[in-house]
This record gives sequence, structure tokens and C-alpha cells, in this order.
Amino acid sequence: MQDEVIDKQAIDRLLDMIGGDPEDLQELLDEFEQSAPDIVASMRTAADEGDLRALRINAHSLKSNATDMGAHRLSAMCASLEAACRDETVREPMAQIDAIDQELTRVRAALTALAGPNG
Amino acid sequence: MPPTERPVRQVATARRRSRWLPHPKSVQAKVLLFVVPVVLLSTMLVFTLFELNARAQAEEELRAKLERLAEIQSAVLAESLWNVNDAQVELILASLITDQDVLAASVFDDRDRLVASVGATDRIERSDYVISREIAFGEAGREIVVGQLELALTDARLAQLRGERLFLTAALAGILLAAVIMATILANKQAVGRPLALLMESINREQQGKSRQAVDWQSDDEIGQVVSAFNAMQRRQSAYEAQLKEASDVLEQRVEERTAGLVKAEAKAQQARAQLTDAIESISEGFALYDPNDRLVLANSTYVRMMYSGIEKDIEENATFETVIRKSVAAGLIPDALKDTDAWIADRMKEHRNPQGPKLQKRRNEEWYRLEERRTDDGGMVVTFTDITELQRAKEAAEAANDAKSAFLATMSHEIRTPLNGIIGMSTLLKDTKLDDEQQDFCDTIETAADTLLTIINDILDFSKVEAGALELEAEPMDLTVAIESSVDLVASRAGEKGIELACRIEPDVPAAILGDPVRLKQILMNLLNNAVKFTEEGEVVLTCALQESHAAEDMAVLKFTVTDTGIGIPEDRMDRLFKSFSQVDASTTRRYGGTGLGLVITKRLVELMGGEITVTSRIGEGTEFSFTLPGRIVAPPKRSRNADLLSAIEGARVLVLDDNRTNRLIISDKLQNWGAVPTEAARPSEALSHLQGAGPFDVVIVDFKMPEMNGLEFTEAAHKALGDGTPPMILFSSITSTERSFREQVGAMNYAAILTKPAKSQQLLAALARTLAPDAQNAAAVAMEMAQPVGRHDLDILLVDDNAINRKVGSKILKRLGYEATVVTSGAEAIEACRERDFHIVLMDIEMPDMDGITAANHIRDLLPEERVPFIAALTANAINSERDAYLEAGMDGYLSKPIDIAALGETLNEALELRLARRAAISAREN
Repeated sequence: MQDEVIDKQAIDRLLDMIGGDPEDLQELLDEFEQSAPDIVASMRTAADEGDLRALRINAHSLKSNATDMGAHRLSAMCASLEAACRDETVREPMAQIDAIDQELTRVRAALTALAGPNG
Repeated sequence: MPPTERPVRQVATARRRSRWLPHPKSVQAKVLLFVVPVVLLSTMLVFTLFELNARAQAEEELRAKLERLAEIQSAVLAESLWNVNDAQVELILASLITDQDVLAASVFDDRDRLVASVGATDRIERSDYVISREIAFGEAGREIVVGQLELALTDARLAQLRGERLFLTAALAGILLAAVIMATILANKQAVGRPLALLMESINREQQGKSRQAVDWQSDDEIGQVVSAFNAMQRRQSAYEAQLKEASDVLEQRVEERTAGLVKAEAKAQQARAQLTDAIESISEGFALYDPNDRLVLANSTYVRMMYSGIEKDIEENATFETVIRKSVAAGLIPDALKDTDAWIADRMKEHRNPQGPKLQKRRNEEWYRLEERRTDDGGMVVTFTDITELQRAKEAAEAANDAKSAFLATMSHEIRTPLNGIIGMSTLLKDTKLDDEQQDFCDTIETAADTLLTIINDILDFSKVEAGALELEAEPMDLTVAIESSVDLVASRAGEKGIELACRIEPDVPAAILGDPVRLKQILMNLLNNAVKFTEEGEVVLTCALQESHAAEDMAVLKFTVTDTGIGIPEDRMDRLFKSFSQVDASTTRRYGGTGLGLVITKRLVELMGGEITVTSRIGEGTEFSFTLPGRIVAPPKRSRNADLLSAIEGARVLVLDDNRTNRLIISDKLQNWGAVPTEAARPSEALSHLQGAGPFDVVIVDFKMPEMNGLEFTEAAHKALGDGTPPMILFSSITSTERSFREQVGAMNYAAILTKPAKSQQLLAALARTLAPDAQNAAAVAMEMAQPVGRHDLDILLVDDNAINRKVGSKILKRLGYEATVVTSGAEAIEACRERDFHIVLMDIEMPDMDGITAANHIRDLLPEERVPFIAALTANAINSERDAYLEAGMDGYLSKPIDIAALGETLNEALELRLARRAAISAREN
């Protein structure tokens, strides 16, 4: 179940990229843990205000973070939202954001579970 | 109908009735009011009846008299008339009228002629008693009517009698009535009036508040009952009142007592408060108490004076904490707050509401205070200020002293080791020259002595560091297997020489790595193993590592290391001296076995510093067992144990360090020594050359570029000339930022194994050395990392721009890995500001940002800065589409990197950046020329 949500190899790659220190990785995971919900909140505000540009940028942000964390499905959802914003073909943005939020919750749970054994 | 109306109406009705009636105010009158009419009526009735009867009788009699008289007189008159004796008739009539009752009488003859009359004949018709009788003479049966008598009686006498009778009756009635009234009055008075009056009196007495008196009346009737009931009630009332009074008295007394108690308590409280205030005043700290609403309750004068001199009047009771703080800041008492007052105050209030622990605050005149806030049970807050200016100064002085000590230690260690290394080096060199046996022997001795001396000095320096508390332990992931095995390895040869078995066993439940200081752990193991081998003649030495306990929750493990030997053992009475400084078990052993006696002390201290304990058991002639515990957090072993690999690659390597600057030499030598390499220093190129030309081969040479006699490049050239193929690989250190192409070409031509920038970053130096000395698959990763570093690398000023926190972190860490400390900003606007303030070599600009996107920001920067200051701006983009990338280049970006950042690509970009910059500057200088 974890593997579907999080690509472990991506996490390993990330760890490698930043120098192999598990503490650094934990810093990044914590940062993600904290900032991802804020990005989703910004998305909701942007959708509320009809600000396509802000929505696109936030979706872009979350997409790139999700990719770093190996959350490919989440990343894909954000990517399609971003593309829709760019093409101005966004439909029911709130529903999409809700779906993204749900996936984010799964991702965060998976990341927390990952962090467990490594302390 | 509202209830109040009813009684009013009733009262009104009663009043109305009473208006028509006499208003009796006493029972007496009421009774009489009943009795009198009744008696009156009944007497009247009786007497009327009586009267009527009497009157009827009287009339009856009169009528009878009339008849009689009529009869009689007629008879009498008969003869007279026959005889026509008028005189006789008149005589008879005259005697008749003497009867009072006769009113009139008239006699008529047979021819109805009045013969004689007497009396009031005119009133005959008016009388009720009139009779007319025929007067007849004769004998019975043969009567001849001779005349008529008309007789009238008067009831005057009756009337008179009647009057008398009435009078009598009235008198009787009156007397009767009077008697009844008197009787009633008396009876009333007796039976009712008196007792009622007594009752009333008693009630009045009560109303007037006089003492009660029982009503003195006794009778069997209702009045008596009422009286006794009243008396009983009075008694009860009295009893109640007595009880009430008693209770009231008791209550009063209690109240008095309580009041007295309260007054006393109040006095005590006052006293206590005074005591407390005194106490608080007398303490040297500033003390203030705020209530749960953040208002000042009390503050001692120290508090006010210390913290708020100048604004004392604002520190008054009930001022809120925030007010106090604001006033202090406004008065300039807190220098730190002046920068961004509102933010500082907001922070301070946040801390105040949720105090985390004591903190330090700097005030005017460089005074330092320790401020502590604690919540009381009821939600208030106690604030204490302690003047720690002196402490702070002392601390700073101590720190300075400590720093001086550490610097001294470092210098001393270097100063002492250097000549020793010289001696050792020289003796080694000497050994390789032609020597006779005696000289060889001397040489060996020198070498041994020098080695020993080095060990001793290392021990002493370690010891003094430990004693000075200057020994700092690293906390990095330690691969236990590597640490243990390498320690054993180092002892193996000596054990082998002595024919002793050397074994090492790591239990399977021991974790792969824990957090700790691998170098020091090895030092401990080395000490114990060395001792074991030293004091064992035959048999074995075994090193075991086991997991003693673990706490899964916190990933804490406690390991137990044991070194067992079958050596000479330690006598019991010497055991306690074992860990004491400078004592060996036995003076003779020092001579036989050598050693400073410091090893164990240092080992013990190290173990304790690491949080463990060391113990020893031993039996003479049988052997000794040293064991120590080591707690540590279980971590993942260092990835691919790069450092361990690198360290093993350079272990024992002989390194020549050439730098004219003593400090630099010191730094590098220290590092090399810590890594287990053997450095030799040279201050001048000529010195270095002679070292190189000496027989002792060096594995690698570290050369500084900037030197007075000749620069690094020139030295390398000279070395190559002198030694040709035998020239050891060289690592060039450079601190200049020369970007001339010619320089780079020259450097390239020298074929340095690595070029590093100063200050020397440990990791890079280590990697470079490892790569140089053992360029094989083991270091593949290290190599890859090194390759990523641009050749001719100089200290680059890098600006990283990204709105996303994670991207920023990842980017910084990657750059740090490459050895760069990047400046990080979060938006295009900040990037522009940063470029305005500082010269950056390269800007890594995220494109997708809110507010201002990367392209715009880049254009602004380009517009803003003069040409020679414009940095290389590379786009960071998650867009992998080629067309987009090209678009960035067309928009003016100098390059692009896709996210997630690839290290190799980053390295290339950095290279590119450097080259482009050089090209630009060359172009500019060409233009200017």
C-alpha cells in the first residue's frame, strides 16, 4: 500500500542527492509535512477567488515537491490541474483540490510510516 | 376581581350598615342591643294582651250593667208612669244619674213624649252603650207599654281605668326592662366584661412591651377556655422568646468570637503580607507577580529599579504586562527591541504567555539579565530578573580563557609533534643509509624512543584535553563492524609477532551502526587491545561486542565491549590504582612493558564521556577482562561508509604538505593526522624538494599555490623536472580567484590530481586524497562527486531563488554537498534586492513563482546591474519539454536545469557559469582596451 503512494526509490534518490544524511532527509520530510497542507490551502483560496495563475503556481509547487518525495500519483494529479489552469480549461477545481488533498493525506501517512523505523 | 377590592367593599358595606345603626363598641352594648328590643317587645306583647283582655271585660261589664240598669229602671219606672207621676220619674232619674257610668237617660211616654231626661242627652247618639227599653206595667203576661226608656252609659270611667291601667303597665314594663338591663349588664360584666378586660389588659401590656402577666380568670365557660388558652399561648410565647433570646445570645457571642478571630486573622495576614513583602524586597533578584489577567500585583523595588529605571512611575499596580513592556521599549531600555519593535513585542508576549524556560535579555550599557517566567497554580505569572552581567562577563572571560587553552593545546600538540615527526622521519631516512650494525642498532633505538615519545605525547595531550574538558566528541553514524575490525587489524601484527591468538566477535543482535565518535571508539579499543597484547605472553586476546540492552521506543541501544586476555593478570590490591593517572600496576612493568600509564585513564574518561562505564576483572596468572558499556542511538550506517572507505584508503599515507603559511600547514597536518595519515610539513619549496628527493617516498603532495619563492605551479614543474615519473601525485590548494584563461590552462597542464580551494574543506580533502591514493571501485561514489566539481573551481557566490521550501532545502543541501554555501531567497523581488546588494557569480532561478516569475526577475536583474556585475542566471524548471527550455534561453536565461536537480548537471552548469563569466569579462576588458 505504501509503495503505491510513495516510490521508495525516489526517497532513496533524494537522500542520496542531498548527501546521505538521514537527518537532512528527515528535515525535508518534515518540511513537506508542514508546507504541503499550506499549499493545498492556498489552492483552495485561489480557486475560491478564481485566480487561475495562483492556482497553477501552487499546483506546480506541490507537483514538484510530490515528485521529490516519490508521490507520483499526487504529482500527476497536480500536473493535470496545472495543465488545466494553463489551458484555462479548469472544471470543478474544488473537486480536484479535494482529491489532491485526500491523496496528500495518504502520502503524508506513508511518509510518516517510512520515517518510523529510521527514527 | 382583584382580591384587594373585596375586603374594601366589605368594609364599606359594614360601614354603610353601621351608619344607620348605633355603632356598638362593646359586647355589653351588643348584648343589650339584642336584649332590650326583645324584652321590650315581649313585655309589650304581654301587656297588650293583658290590656285587651281587661278592656274587653270592662266593656262586657258595662254592657251588662246597661242592660241591668235598663231592666231595673224600667221596672221601677213602670209604676211611676202608670200613675203619671212625673215627679217620681224625675226622682228616679236623678238617682240614676248619680251612677257615674250613666251618661243620660230619657223617658218617653206611650205617645213618645219626653217625660223626663237627665244627663247629657245630646251625646246619647255618640255613646256606644245605648239601650232603649220599653217600659211595661202589668203583670206578667198582661203588660201594657206605658213608655220607653232610653238609657246611655258612658265609658269614661273605663277610659279612666284604662289610663290607670296603662300607666301601671308602662311602669311595670319599665321596671321590668330596667331590671333586665341591669341584670344583663351585671351578668355580662361578670361573665364576659371582666375577663375580656383582663385579656385586653394583658394584650396591651404585651403590646407595650411590658412583662407578661397571666390573665387571672377562671371559669368553666367559653370565656374561661379562651382565657386559659390565651394564658397557655402566652406561656408558649414566653418560652419561645426565651429560647430565641438564648439562641440569639449564643449567636451574638459566636459572632463576637468570630469577629475577634477575624480581626486576629486579618492582623496575622497583614503581618504575613508585610513579612512577605519584606522578604521579597530583600532578595537580590527583581521579582514581580502578575495576576491571571496579566496585571501587576506586586513588584519589589529591585525589579523596578533594575529593569525600569526612568519609567518607574509606569510600573504601578494593575499595569498590564504588555504596557510595561511597551514602555520599556519606548524608553529605549532594550536595545534588541529597537530594530523591529512590534515584532519584538509580539514575540515577547508570545513567550510571556507560554514561558519555555529562562532566557537572557540584554539591556542598556551591555548589561545582561537572566529572565525567568513561571506560571503559578492560579494562572498568574512570576517574573524574576537576575543580574548576570558579571556572570556573563565571567562566562565570556572563561570562554576566552578556554579558547586560549584550546588554542594553546592545539599549538602545543603541533609544536611538539612536528619536531618528533622530524626525528622519526630522519631516523627512518637514516636507517636506509649505509650503516654498520652498531649504527643500525642506535637508529632502531632512536626510532623506538621517538615512537614511544610520540605515543606519550599524544597521551599527555589527550589527557590534558580530557582534563580541561576540551575533548569534544563527534556524533556521527559509526559503522561498528568497521570500527572494531580496523582496531583489531592494527593490533594483529603485534599479536602475530608474539604468537598470540587474536579474535574478534560481534554478536548478531548488535546494530549495524550507532551515533558516536568512531575515532575515539577506536582509540579506546586500541588502548585495551594493545594492553591486552602487551601483557600477554601466550594464549589469546578476544574482543567481543554484544547488545546489552535496547529501548526500541527511543532507538537507544547499550553495547557492551569486552577485551579478554590470558595474560599476567592484575593483582587485586592494585586494581584500584588501575585507572589512576600515571600509575602502572607495578614499577617493574613500566620498564618491561613500557607505557605512560595514561592510556587507561584516558580510556576511562572517554568511556565516561560517551555515557558508558568501564570495569575490569582479573586473576593473577590467568588473565584479565576489561569491559565497557557504550550507549548510543541506533542509526543507519553511513551510506556505503564512504568515510570509512576513504579513511582506510589514506591510512598511513605519507603526505607532504607545502605551504608558507604556518596556520594553514597546522590545519592540514592536524586533519591528516586525525585521519591516520602521516604528514610532513615544508614551509618552503626548496625544503619540499629536498624532502621529495630524499629516499622516503611520499604518497601524495599537497601544495599551496600562493607562495613567495615560487608559486605552486612552479614548484610542481620543478618537482616533475627533478623526479620525473617518480613524482608523487599532487593536490593544489588555491585561495585566489584568478579567472584568467591562461592560468586555467597552465593548471590543467600540470595534471593535478585535484585542485581545491581554501579554506580546506575536510570532506573534499579527504575525498581527493582517497581518490588520489586509491583510485578504485571503492571510491566510485566519491569519484562521481569529485567529478561533479568543476575544474578550476573557485569560491562561487551562488544565489538560489525558489518559492518552495522543500526545493530550497534540497537545492541548498546539494550545493552544500558540492561545497558551496548558497544564499537562499524566496521570491523574485528578494532576488533582485540580493543581486543589488551583492555580487553573485551565479543565480539559480526558479521559473514558476507567484508574484514575480523567474524570467521577469532575471530581466530586472539584467537591467539593473552594470554588465560586469551581471551574474550567470540559470533557470530551474520542472518543465521537461524541450521547447519550453529553449524558450527560456530565448528569454535571456543563460542556462537551465531541470528539477529535481541532477548533481552532474549542476556541476556542468557551474562550470559553464564560470566559463561564461570569464568570457564576458574578457570581452569587457578587450572592449575597454
